[in-house]
Amino acid sequence: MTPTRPPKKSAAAAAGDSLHPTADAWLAQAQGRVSGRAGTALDQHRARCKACHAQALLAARVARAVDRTDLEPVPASLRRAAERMFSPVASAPAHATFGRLRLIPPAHGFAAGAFAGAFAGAFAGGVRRAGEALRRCALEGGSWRLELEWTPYDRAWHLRGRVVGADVGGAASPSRTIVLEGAEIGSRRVRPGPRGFFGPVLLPSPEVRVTLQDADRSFRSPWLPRAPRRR
Amino acid sequence: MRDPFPDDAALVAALRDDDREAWRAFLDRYERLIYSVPRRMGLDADDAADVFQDVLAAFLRGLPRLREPRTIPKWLTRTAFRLARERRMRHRREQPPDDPLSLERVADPADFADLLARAEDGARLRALVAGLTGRCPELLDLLFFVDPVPAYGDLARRLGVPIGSLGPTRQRCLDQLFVRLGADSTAGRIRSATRPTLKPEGATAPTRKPRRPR
Repeated sequence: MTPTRPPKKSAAAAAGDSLHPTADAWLAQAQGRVSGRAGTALDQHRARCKACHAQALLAARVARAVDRTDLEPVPASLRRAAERMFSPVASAPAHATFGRLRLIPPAHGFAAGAFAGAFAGAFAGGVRRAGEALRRCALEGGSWRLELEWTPYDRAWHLRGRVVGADVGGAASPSRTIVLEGAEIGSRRVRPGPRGFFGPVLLPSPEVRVTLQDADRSFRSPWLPRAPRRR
Repeated sequence: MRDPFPDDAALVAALRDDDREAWRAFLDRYERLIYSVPRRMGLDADDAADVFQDVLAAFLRGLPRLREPRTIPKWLTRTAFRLARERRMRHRREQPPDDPLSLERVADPADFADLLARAEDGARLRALVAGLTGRCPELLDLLFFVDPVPAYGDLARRLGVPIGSLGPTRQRCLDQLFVRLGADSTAGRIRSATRPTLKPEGATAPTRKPRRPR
C-alpha cells in the first residue's frame, strides 16, 4: 500500500486533497517499486496536484542519481587490484616530496661497466630493428645510481636497468622498488633482483619516467630518453 | 558514521594526504562508471580491466595537478572512452573484423552522456545528503549509496535505533532532502530567470510630468 499522510501547511494542501502521497511513495514509484492500482492512484493524484507533481519530479531525480542498474559491476579481483594501486608515491605532489634522479653525462654514467657486461648476453638474443641503436643513460639520486638501457624489440622496446647503491654496493634491498610510468603502460612497478637488475620490460614507446622508491624517500627522473611527444 | 568525504573536493584533499580510505571511497563512487565505458564499447572483460586500471593510473598521476574536483566524472568518462577507443583501434589493426561495421557501433562520447549525467547527479545528491541533519546523512547514505542496500535489521543495528523507528526516520529524512533538492533546483532556475531583469520586482518606471505647453 502506498504510504500517505495528512497535509500540513504544505502547498499540496491547497490543492484540496485530504491525503497526499509521501516523498517515500514518490521515490518508490520513481524506482519502479510501485505498480498496478497503487501506481495508477499516484499518477491520478499527481495529475491534479501541482505540489505533488513537483515532489514526483524530485523523486525521479533522486532515483536517477542512485540508479546503478545499467552500470557494469567491477569484478572483485579487479577491485582488489585497484585498491592496491594506491600508494603514497603515486599520489604525492610532484616535486614536493620527491628527490630528483639527475642524468649523468655519458662519460661517467657507465664507469662501473657491470651493467653493460651483465646484459650483453640478453641483448644478443633480442630482435633488434635495423637502424635503431641502443639507448642508454644513467641517473643519480640520493645515494643511488640508476642505469637504464633501451633495446629495440620488434615494433617496441625492451627496457632493462640496474640500481646501484653507492653506500650498499648494490646489495639487495627489499624496500627498493622501481615505478615505471609511460603513456601506454600506465604505472608499472618492478622490483630489482638481488644484484639490482630489473627488466626486460616491454614498452610500446620508449618514453618513460622512472621513480626509485627507497625506504625513506622517492627519487623521480625526468621523462626519458627524451621529452614525450604526447604530453 | 557520517561519510567523511561528502563531496569530491573533500575526497581529493584526502587522497592528496595519502588517505587509503579515500581511495576506497573513490573506487566505490566511480569504479562502475569507469568500467562501464569500455564494456559498453564492446571490449571484453580483460581489455576493459586494462582500460580501467590505466584510467586509475592516469588519475593518480594527475591528482597533484587536479584543480577542479567537480570535473572528475567527466574526466574519468572521457579518459576511459579515449583509452578504450585506442585499444579497439589497436585490435582492429592487428585483427581486422569480418564485418567492418561491427567495430564502428559505438564511437561517440555522446553515447556516454547518460552515464556522465548520472554520475554528476550522484555527486550532487551525495553532497546534499551530507548536509542534512540528525541521522539522515547516515541513513540516506546507506540507502542510496551502499550496494546492496542493507536489510532493515542491519540498518537499525548500524544506526543504533529500534527497527520500528526506521520508517518514520526515513520519511523525515526524505522530506528534508526533497526540501533541499527543491531549493537547489529552484536556485538554478532563479539564477537563469533573473539575469535579464534589471529592476527589482515591483519597481515602476519614474513617470515624467508632462511639460506644460508654453
